[in-house]
Amino acid sequence: MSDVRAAAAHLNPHDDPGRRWAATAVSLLLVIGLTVLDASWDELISATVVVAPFLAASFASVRQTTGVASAAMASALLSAIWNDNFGDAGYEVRTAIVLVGGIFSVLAARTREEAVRAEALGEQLTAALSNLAEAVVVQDHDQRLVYANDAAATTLGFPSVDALLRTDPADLASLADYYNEDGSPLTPEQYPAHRVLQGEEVAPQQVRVINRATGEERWRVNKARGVRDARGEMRLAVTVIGDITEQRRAELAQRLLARAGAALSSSLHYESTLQEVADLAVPTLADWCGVSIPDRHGVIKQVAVAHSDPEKVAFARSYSERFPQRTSDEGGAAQVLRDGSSQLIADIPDELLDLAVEDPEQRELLRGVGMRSVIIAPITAASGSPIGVISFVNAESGRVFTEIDRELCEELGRRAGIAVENARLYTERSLIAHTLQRALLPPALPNIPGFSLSALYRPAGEENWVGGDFYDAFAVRDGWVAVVGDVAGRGAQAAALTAFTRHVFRTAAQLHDDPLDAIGYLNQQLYDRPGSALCTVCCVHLRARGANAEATISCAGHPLPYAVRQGGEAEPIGHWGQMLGAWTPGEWSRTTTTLAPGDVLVLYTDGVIDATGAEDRFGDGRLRAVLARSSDAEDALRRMADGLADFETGEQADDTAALAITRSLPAASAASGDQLGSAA
Amino acid sequence: MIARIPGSEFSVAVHAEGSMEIVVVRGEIDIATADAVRAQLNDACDRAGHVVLDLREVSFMDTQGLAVVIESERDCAADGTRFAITRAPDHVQRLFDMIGLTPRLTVVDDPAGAAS
Repeated sequence: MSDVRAAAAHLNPHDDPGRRWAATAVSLLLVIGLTVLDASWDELISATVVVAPFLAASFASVRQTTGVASAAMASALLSAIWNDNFGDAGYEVRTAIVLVGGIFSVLAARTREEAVRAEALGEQLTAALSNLAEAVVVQDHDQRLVYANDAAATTLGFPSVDALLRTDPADLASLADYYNEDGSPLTPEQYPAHRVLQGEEVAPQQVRVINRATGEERWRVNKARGVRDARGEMRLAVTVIGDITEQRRAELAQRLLARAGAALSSSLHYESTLQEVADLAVPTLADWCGVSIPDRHGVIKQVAVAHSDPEKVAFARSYSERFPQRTSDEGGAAQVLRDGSSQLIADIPDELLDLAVEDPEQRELLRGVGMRSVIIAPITAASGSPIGVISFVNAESGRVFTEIDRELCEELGRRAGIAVENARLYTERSLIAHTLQRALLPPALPNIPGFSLSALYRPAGEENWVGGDFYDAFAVRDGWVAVVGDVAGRGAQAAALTAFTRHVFRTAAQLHDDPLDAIGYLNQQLYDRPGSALCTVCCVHLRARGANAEATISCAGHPLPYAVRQGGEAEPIGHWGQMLGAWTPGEWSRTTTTLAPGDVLVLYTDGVIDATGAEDRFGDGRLRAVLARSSDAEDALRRMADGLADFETGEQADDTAALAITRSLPAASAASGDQLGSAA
Repeated sequence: MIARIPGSEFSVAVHAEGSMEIVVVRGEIDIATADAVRAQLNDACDRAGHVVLDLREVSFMDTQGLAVVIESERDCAADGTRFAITRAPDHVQRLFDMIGLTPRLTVVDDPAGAAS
């Protein structure tokens, strides 16, 4: 038998004792007043008997009025009977009899009324609470359940209210594991009812509950309020328990997928992003999360693993190394990889481990993990074929996965698949880009007797496609040619055009009597190509002239090179000429200068002067300043690279290429005996 | 994110004045913005009988930008569309001179001048 009357019995039922006692006192005063009147004026008795109930009614309830009326009548009757039968009885005795009768009748009326009222109220409240969808429990100051409604019994997993109320509080707590929202275990001191009984104001508290027997996870919101007795002491805790499992799961799934999506698109290094996804799943979705991808040898390699305890992560890593899974294995990840459908083992029976794992040591290690429930979902590529698996394991939480969890895990697997595939495509693309880039540049700068060369090449960002800058240096009939060029455009088309430009220029320079005639020839070739094929070049024809060298420079739409003579200032050299591929025919002027030993010539693309800093572009002025006092080719480019590194902000926008040439000092040439020997 | 020079916000807009379309570019024309300019110029060349590229507010231009101008001039010529540019600020216009582009283009001081 449980209803609110039982709970109410723990309280003094007089919620407003002052007012009721006042009514009682007034009633008693009336009785006394009537008795006094009766004694004084016998003739007025009938009138007072009629008036008294109305007087009482203005102070008290119907039943009290009836009580007062009956008391008054009783006193009148008694006084009359006493007068008739016993003659002149003592006034005091009559008064006493009337008083006692009045008091009894008033008190009786009071108690009866309250009982009836409480009865009716109790029935109504009990009916209302029982039918309430939300679970309501009432606990006394020892946290013993004194009331629970039907919903509470259902929510707490009991067949009936009586079964719930019969359960010892300690047993009740041990039926499930309770966790706070942040995943930390909920201690008994944190129970809302406990805190309320301590006199605390408690905000609604969300609690994750895992039933120990079934492994079922529920989310509840507990709202507890205290009830004080007449003396203001906290006597009861009323807790309303709402089940918000569906809502929490939906929220969790949304949040997890959103965060996973952000993590997966944040980087192209898929192993680190998969680790982030695994970290996100723990511990809200699972105790463990791991990602495995098969390598080309058929070993399913663990690429990510997460657990809230770092020691367990280390254990998982060493375990997977010691007992690697193979794509040829039966069941588990290998099976998921083969058929592409996820696996859910809600409650792992002990025998399964014995069947699945032969090695007793391995079995023992696995048993130590205490796996209870597992989901293995495929990581699927856009083509639909599985490229890996993402596994979720519940162990110490004891939580059992459901079909809803399986759907979420599958979705995570799909999203991870897109990320892995993108990363792979990117890796492949980078490889192609690097291969192409190598085709745009000479494998190594040639060893030119009497000169030293140095090159700088910075494609714009690792994630960009190959750029249009190139440089080259090669032997011609009467000396050497060095060239730096920049092809307009980006991407595969620009790369193809760059390779074309470099090879046409090299071949033409080697076949023409004057290698710089290659500029006009290249212009015609580019102009004749379908579509737009524009490029700029700066080239220099080098010939040894005793200890010095003669350098003839020609520029086509390209920034002028700088000469740094004997560690002095950097001076531009040559003249601008028209861009190649735009019009035909064209004229390109030549400038011949002498390079003494130690003089440096620096060719570069506009990526150098157009490099962006916080306020403006690098520009000619800064380039001249950093190149000044360069002692040789290598030094000049080091100064340039350092200058750019100090200046640039943000990501490099354009490719940068530069080539520096020094006429070697005679002493350096003499020291290099091999070189002289081979030149001779 | 590629760094931009402060105060050099790029924009490209097209105004029609009769059969003439004026493509107004502001800011820097470089590897990051050249494609946007190219797209507007291509459309304008297809639609209009006379295209003016207004470069008066262009603060910077690199090889990619120069390539766009050369290509547009060539495309318009092939379509029989008149093409002109309004003179860019001196430091940009200097590039046109240096690569031999200026004598090959119709260069005017303002778009109204191109109409005559």
